[in-house]
Amino acid sequence: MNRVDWESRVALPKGVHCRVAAKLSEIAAAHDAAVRISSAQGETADCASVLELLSLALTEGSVARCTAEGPDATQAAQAIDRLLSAKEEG
Amino acid sequence: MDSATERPEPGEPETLHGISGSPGIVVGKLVVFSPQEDGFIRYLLEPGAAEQEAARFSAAVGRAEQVLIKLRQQFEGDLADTVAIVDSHIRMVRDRMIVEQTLSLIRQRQINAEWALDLSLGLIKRKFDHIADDYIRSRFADVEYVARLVAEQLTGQGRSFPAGFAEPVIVAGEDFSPEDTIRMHTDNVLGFLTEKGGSTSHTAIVARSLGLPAVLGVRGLTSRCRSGDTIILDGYEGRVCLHPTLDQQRLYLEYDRQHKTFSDEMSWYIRLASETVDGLRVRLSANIEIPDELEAVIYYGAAGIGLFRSEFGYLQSKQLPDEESLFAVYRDLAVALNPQPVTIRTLDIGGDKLSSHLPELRLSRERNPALGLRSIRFSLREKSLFETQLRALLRAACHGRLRILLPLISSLSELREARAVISGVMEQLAEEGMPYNPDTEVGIMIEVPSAVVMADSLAAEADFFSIGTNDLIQYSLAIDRGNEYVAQMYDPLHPAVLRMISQTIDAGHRQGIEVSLCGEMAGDVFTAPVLLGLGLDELSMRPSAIPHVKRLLRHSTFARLTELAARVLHCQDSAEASSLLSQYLADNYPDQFLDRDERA
Repeated sequence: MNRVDWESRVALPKGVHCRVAAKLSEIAAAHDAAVRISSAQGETADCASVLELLSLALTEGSVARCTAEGPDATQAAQAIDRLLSAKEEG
Repeated sequence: MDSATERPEPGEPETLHGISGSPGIVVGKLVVFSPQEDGFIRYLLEPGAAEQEAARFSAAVGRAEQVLIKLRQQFEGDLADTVAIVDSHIRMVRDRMIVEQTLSLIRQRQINAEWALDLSLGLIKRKFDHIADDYIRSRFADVEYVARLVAEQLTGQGRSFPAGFAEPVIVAGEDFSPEDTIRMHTDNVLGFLTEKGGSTSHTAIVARSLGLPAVLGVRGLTSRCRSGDTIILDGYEGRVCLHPTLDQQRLYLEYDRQHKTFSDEMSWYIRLASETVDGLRVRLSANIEIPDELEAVIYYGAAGIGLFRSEFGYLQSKQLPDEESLFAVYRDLAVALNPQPVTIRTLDIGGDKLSSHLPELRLSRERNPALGLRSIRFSLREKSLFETQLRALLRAACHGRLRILLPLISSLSELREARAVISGVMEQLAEEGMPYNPDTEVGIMIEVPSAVVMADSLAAEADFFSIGTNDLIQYSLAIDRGNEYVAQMYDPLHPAVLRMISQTIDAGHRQGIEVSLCGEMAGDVFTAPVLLGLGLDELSMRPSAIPHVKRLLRHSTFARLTELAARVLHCQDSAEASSLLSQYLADNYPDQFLDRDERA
């Protein structure tokens, strides 16, 4: 099983708010991979749940510890890292 | 404040203060939605009924989702903010924190769905209450909206819209969801007030995009106001006049009338030529992002499109658009506005935005994307992507006056490189026998300071210039507008900015090419006079601003505009420039723009 662990630093000025959380869960849904994200405080969210992602309260500058597992883990990891570390929402 | 003792007798005029949610003034009768008493009915299930209850809940979730999807369809391809908000609610309604948690509570505790949903909401709230960040914590309001929508489907009743008002009303309530707001829009509602909420709420964003006046966060609203009260809602200032005197009503209605007359007067300008009293013509054209805006371009009498941001065609789906679909969009625009010019800017984004489209594109993270691989630089690196867009553009140019605009050009060699790619694409098209327009004009954006300095060399090899002031200001003043610490230093009237604009125009005109400007400055009646006086051939702006700028132009003479521009160019700072422009505006515009405090 393909597994990727990585850390992303959130650069989005408003952090992971609704629309970003929705995008993260879209990315997770579009790839054949299970993605989990943890905050520095140790809370963990399943990337499929917008509300769990929101409740991590990932603000600008915070670190997200991520794990992706599955055949598309690498692609999912790249897409999520790009979204989290972008300076503006695309 | 103890409202019980200070509250005037009913019927006394009173002003309540809130936050401006969405601009506009309306006067009307109020309909108050009283705060919902803990509306969730609670009971224990009969033994063995849990699965049936779970199914009832799942069905309600499905119906709530359908309601949202239907609402969303009303706005497809339009009002991007509204669609994005409804989209995030569609995701939320199926979220496992709501659905799975409620289902397991139904089964474990043998309780009814409403009760279980209420408990789930409480658990989610507890998580959100720990969040220190105000902005993210305030998103709990969205969770509540979505849960209420599901609850309405469970009970089959709600207080939601449309309520079928027989006459136009202003509605007030504790809070309204973005979806309520969308429905109000089609329900004889003039505007709305809420007790909770702020200007960054999703409800406010939707109200603004629908043009529905709103005042939010009015404390004590639902206890002070009664249905049937007459009120004035001032969405500009974020205040409410309760029981207004007839004089106050007259004053506001007079303002409202003036406002409408002003809009009517503006629509009169739509059909007039854009020229000064002494016959100087300036082309006023439109900036658009999506093809659907074509209707507005035509309605507001734009003399063509000065800037079509072509990114939309790439970002709307997960796959890259093919040549044929791009061609169809470009051709339709060119045909619709022929013989007026349609200027299409090639891709102006960085690779990060296209990562899901181009999985093979492995770019490492950039420290500073604004100064990184984006725009023309990205196109020149990802040649096949660029060539596909160029093929579509050159082919569509057979069907009207389509002009190609290259963004972020910072040196002559970059322009030459792009020109070489264009020539290559033309040869390819010729070989294939595909019709294309070999004389398609190719212009460049002037938005990097180095391009201003080199404008004379660039003008010799470009067919036109388009000054992009939004980026030019950021790059030349080293100011990121999105950064709250320095945003106030973003200054379109900085003498350096005005001189750069002037130099670019002069350099272009010496080579006999057209110079246009497509930043926000172009559509602002405050800054447009100096731009017109500097001698630009075209100003491109959001379509609805065109009649305003045209009115300004038609009330000016070329001589006065050039004199104004010459004086502004000699200002040492923007305060000086600003006072000259204020004076000009006051001399040329009615008192609509004067202080409106007299209504207070």
